[in-house]
Amino acid sequence: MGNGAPPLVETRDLTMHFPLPSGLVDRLRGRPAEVVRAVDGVSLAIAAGETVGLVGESGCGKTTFGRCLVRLYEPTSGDLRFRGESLLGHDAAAVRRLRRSVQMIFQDPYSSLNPRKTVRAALSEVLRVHRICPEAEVPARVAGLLERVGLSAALADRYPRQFSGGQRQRIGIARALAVEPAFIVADEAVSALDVSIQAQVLNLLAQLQDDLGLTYLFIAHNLGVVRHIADRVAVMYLGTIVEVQAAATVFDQPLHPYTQALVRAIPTLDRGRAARPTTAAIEGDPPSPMAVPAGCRFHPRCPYAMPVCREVAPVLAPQPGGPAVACHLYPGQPAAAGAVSVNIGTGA
Amino acid sequence: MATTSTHAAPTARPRAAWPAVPGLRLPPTLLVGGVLLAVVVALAVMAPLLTPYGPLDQDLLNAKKPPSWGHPFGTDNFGRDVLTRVLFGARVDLLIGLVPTAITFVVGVSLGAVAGYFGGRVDAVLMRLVDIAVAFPFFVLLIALVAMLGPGLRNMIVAISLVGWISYARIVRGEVLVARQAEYVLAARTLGFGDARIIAGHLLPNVITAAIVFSMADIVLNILLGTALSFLGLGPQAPTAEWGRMIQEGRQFIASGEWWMTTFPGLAIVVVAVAFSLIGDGLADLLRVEDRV
Amino acid sequence: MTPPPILRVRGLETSFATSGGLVRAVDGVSFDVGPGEAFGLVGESGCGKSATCRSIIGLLPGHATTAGAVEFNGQNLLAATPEAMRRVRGAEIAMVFQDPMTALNPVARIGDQVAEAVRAHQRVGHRAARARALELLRLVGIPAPERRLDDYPHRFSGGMRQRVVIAIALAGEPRILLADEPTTALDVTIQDQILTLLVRLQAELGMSVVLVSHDLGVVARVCQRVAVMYAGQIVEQGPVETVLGAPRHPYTIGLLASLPGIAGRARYLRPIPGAPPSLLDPPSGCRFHPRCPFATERCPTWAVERLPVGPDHDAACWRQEAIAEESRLAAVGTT
Repeated sequence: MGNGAPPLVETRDLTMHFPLPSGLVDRLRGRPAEVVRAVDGVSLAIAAGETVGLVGESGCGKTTFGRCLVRLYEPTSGDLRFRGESLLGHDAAAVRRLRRSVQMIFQDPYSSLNPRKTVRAALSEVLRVHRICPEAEVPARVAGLLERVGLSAALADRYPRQFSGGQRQRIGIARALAVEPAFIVADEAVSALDVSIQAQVLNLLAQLQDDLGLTYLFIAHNLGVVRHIADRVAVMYLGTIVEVQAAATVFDQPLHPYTQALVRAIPTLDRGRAARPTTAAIEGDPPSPMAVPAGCRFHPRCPYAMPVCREVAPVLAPQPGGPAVACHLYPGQPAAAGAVSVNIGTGA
Repeated sequence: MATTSTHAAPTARPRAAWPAVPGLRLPPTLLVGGVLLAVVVALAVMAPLLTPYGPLDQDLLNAKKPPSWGHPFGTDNFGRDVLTRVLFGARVDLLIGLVPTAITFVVGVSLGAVAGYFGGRVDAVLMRLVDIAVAFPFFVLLIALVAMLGPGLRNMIVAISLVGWISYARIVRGEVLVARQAEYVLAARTLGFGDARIIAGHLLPNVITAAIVFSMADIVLNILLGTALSFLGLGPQAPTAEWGRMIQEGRQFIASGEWWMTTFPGLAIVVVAVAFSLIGDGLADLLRVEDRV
Repeated sequence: MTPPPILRVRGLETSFATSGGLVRAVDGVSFDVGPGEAFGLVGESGCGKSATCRSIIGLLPGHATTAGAVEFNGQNLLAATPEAMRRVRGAEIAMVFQDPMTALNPVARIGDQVAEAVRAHQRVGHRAARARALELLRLVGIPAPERRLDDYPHRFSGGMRQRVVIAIALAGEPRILLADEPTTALDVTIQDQILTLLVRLQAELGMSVVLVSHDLGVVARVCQRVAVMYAGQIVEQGPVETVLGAPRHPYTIGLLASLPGIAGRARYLRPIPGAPPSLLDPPSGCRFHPRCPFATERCPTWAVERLPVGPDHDAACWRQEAIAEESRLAAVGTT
């Protein structure tokens, strides 16, 4: 992280709770509505030109977090800053500026394009709405965008159904590039693609970053993809970030017990190491974000859980050498709330 | 397996083999229904040219005559030519079918789209309104409204419109609720498109199929409603030539064997109903194929 | 010598009649599965791996036709009567599908669903079937199974449902378990649990496993031998260590080079150019030649055959010398 310039994108304690629809009877009885704590206090800074990988299992809140960044969701609380400027509240002009600077690439190449618009119509619409270029230059700009993502401009008048999955994903990327963004949230952008096509799209994303100086938040459940593309990796568990570490080291020296389990669970080709182990990396299922465990959210599944883990929620604390981890096994954590509760904890 | 391999294909596969009309492939039901409707419309428009009589011309000396060369559909109890009245009646009945449908389509689709897209309070208010309307038996509500407004063609159309939009709103709201989660809609939002642009340009074209198909059935339903209300004396008043009214007036003569006064307007209703049903089926086929991604 | 195979697939051809023409999803596939062996079928979508798997157990849609032979216990399953096939299914060969969310009946209790499967294969009473169901649920690692017998599927997570699906598959004590992308719908830690379970079951029950997956890592985690499929054909087959460690077919080589996060942290991957061909009209000769860096003018006319390239290792590519040279150079380059 640079010292002088603010990070390109920064969240501070970003929180997104979804209230569940409650029944009339519950409301009359004055029961509070249940909430899904999808994102629960995430602070993350992303420097310009950097790729941050956000990993975690389904339901951990990584997609919700990404959607908060592109303002598809209005966060419940916390702050979201772009180039040091806060974007929450209702400053319409700022939001519109952000919309142009922050774009998203979606997961499903079969549903992310409007089936009733040709590629040309879809891209031209973006250029016109944002007045990216004079009307006369729109066709040339469309052709340029298609060529930039490795598609022939001659295909512009086709409908999405006439393209393969990999080609559609390229069109989705071209659409995001049309507004000349600085920051792109790629939400499982290559997950639906076959390995050989996936590699082509990953190369395209790397190429675009090199050419255009883009910054990526790369959300994925596939750790191999993240290891390849990311500079830093943030690991999410039940709505919070439990570890942030450089991609070059996190897979070899994961700090948080959850990261360790994730890394161990990746099926590798290296049979010398894996050698078909007969014990799983971690047992049990992640708990529901509707019933978040007290203390450390990971403690019910954690092999190293201590009494303090049941009591005190760890904070993301910087460690020597750069990584940050939210775990009581490492220094920098708040002490237990009081001696009494610790005694109860150890006595139980 | 089979579907995956079509994904890999760079171009769209030829569709099911329909009779090759150059430039467009239409389902046969759509063609037949369309031709039938075109004939009915042409007959209604050209009615004055096709018959020497006027729809209100009485000829009491030739009352209740069975079909003959001079009066192919016979004459009614006032000696009016039934064929002429059926032809002129088509104008009124097509109006009763099309006008309320057009109004309810536009109103219902707009409200349903807005409710489904924005959700929250807008949606809650609209859906409670729908609940209230649905709680009444449809026809009873309609009769009550016409009785309140007073009988007549215009009030009948107003009454049908007041009730009919609900179906469209429900259909479109349901479709929008699903479609607004589609990634292409999310993409439009992240691209900073306005709500109106997203609803009109991105959502509606993808969800309107069901409403269009339903509207074809609704036209038939509205014609039948119109004739039923006329039959009850709540529609266009005598002596307007209208099929439901004609059936109501002719019904007293069925027992005495003068069947033509009721049969021919009845057949006219059937022909129009079949035409719109065929068009509805055909559109459903056509649009479903177009939707295939 | 190795024991005779329990499953012999010979020249399997499976085609689907579609509006666009005949799709030859599987085109001349042959392989053996030994008793107690875990065999992997790996490839990208549309390569025919799932169709191969479904052909073995006779679960193809009506518009499919098959040719060749699938020999099990000396019986050609492709020629078996529906009656005989029903006896084989479940009792001898069982199948686990990809999506555990739809594989269970949502309105029947878990215990009843497993017990029903038990009674489909054994003449036992209600009580005995229930006891066996409990045993099976314990075997697949459902915690406190006696308390979960009367739960409905919606109370189970995806991973737990897949365990139940496996328990149902094991009810007939099959000798071969076909698993078609059994972990694709699951998260990585849950996938690891299910794969661990498959490894354990295979070892404990001495059962053969045929694992279909698009993920080379998943196959490596479970299987001893692997066949790589491309455009309806097996292009390479052999022990997992050799095929993934020293691949001899350009497609396998390209697939491995495409894997992110494996080959160090190079900025750019080396993907296979182009896209898999349409099976309506596959390329002549070697089907991989339009995308192959080793292709010569002979490849489009080469009569494809699988050539032995090592112990129990074959590859359908005649350019073995060029490939060996290339991998020798690559090895020199990395050291």
